[in-house]
Amino acid sequence: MPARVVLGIVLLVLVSLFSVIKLTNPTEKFAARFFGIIEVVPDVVTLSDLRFFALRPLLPQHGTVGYLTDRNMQGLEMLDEWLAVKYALAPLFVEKGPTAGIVVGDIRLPTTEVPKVLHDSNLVLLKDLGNGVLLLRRRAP
Amino acid sequence: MIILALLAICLMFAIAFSLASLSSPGSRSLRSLLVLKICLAAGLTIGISSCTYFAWMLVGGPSRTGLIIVELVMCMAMLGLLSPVLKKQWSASDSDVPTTPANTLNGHWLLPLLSVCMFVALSTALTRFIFVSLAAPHGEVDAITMWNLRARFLARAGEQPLDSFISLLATHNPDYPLLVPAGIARWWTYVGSEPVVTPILVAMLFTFSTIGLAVSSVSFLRSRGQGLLAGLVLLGTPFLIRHGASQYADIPLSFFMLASLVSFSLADAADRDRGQALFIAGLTAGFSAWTKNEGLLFVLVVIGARMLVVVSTRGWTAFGTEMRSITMGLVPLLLIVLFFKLRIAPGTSPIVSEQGAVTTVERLTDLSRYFEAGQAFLGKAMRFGHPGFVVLLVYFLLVGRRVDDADRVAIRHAAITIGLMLVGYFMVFIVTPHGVSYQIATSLDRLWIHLWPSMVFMFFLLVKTPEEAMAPQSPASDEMHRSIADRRAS
Repeated sequence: MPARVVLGIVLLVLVSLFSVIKLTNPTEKFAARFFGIIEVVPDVVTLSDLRFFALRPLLPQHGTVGYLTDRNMQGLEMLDEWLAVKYALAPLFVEKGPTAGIVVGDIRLPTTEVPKVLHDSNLVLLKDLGNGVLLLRRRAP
Repeated sequence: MIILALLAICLMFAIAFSLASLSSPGSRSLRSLLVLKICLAAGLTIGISSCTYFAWMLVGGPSRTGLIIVELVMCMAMLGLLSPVLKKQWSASDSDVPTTPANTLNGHWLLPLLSVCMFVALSTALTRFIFVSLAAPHGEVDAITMWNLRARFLARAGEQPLDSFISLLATHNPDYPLLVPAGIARWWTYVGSEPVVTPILVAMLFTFSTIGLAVSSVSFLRSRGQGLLAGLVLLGTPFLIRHGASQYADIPLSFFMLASLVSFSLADAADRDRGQALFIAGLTAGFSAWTKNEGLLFVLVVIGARMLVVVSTRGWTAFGTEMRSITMGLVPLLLIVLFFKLRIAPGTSPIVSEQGAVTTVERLTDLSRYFEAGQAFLGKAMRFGHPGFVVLLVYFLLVGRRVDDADRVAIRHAAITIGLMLVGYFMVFIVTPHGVSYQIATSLDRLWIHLWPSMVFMFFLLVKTPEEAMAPQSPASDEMHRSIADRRAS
């Protein structure tokens, strides 16, 4: 049996096995997963799906809705949240701002401050679904 | 819900498995090449179901009952059409399968060792895939903004199935085809809800079927040991597993490209009924065009490469005969893609629409773009996957190559196809309106992964099998190689 053939096969097998085992980052991730985790937090898309689940039947089946939030929508983390909102409310198109007739509110301020925000944006509250999720409509001119 | 989900899978899998059985030409038994057929059928299941769902959305609307009835009828019709082939395979015995030279040399300690390594690698990769999917069950950014979002638009369409979907297409990458979104939406429509596990299962199916297809096809065409080595190299490519779990359409595209090249190779290795495997080669090439726009380039390239190889070795008549079978599989899919692009999503992607004659010529004559893209391509070639080309090159130098006459056409065809695809991708980098460095940063890895399983498949067709390399050379074993290769080629 040629030694170079054995060397070739052993090299290929070891490098492949090394990279597939490295893929799992066993020393760090395994330890973190089984000894370091105290709470399982759903990903941002799942959280968004759960938050807007009760709102979806109240919205029109097609068309465009506005989206009003009290948070600054800049930055990578907020981009993820914005994409998650659009994903949760499909097949509706979601526009940032209170421009459309129906507006989805995502306001996490204390309840006492919400009326002022709505007044400033010229919006009327149709339903408060809790957890900061509001169904809003534009005030008639 | 579970019953409907099972119905959704079983209906299409029955059709897909019957079609996949065509890839084993001749009167092989239904059980022969079983793993290969199952892997091929897994991808075909999603491909065919996306087409029936798309067609149903166009003509029938969102009714689930209607969809189930239409698919049941279609399933019966398809099984009826394929019944002569299936009957033939059912009655054939495994003894009809010619024994490849390498299979007669097994029984070595190497095979159990490679099998154990394969088991370890597969279970580790599977675990990793599950962990990544648990961390991001809806997939990464492109899955949320494109593939799964489109599936939601289709599945939640209500009474106006295509109106809002067409509006969506007007906003972002309008002409991306629908194999993955429609495949997922069909499943959701069947069960009447949107289980998160659906896109995860689709992604898992494509990722591990790609590996399974490479292992089983190389095992059949070369040897079992060789197939296991091909599987280890693919499992040892971390990006394949990670990107598979991200739920993008790149791994499904890799699958269909590999499936097409595998089917061409099976046709080349067959002694009769080659048209069946060529039909599957055309069908899977068509599905690649229905998966991503890069698939359209693949269709052109794979047919062009076939013409070069077949005409130079067997003449135009042989190529014409082959094309009859290939077009039977390819044309229906191309018609669907064409209809989608002309009627549903008439917009074009920025890479085409933002090109003007003057700017394109400017980009084509800008040498710095070639240098930047060339450097990135070469760098990626050296590093891609942990084993990468360097380890494969070392392995090639240590073990050597052996090409039977029967495999020569298949290897040349695969090599020209992969080479032309790389040239095509390279030229996209040169003319891209987004800037070369942006394109490199965002898509080079994904373009490589389209071709990587096919490269690995071709590589292991070319190099000596472990069994061949370890067998003592004798005139008798050489004579045996020649006689069996002659049988396969005849």
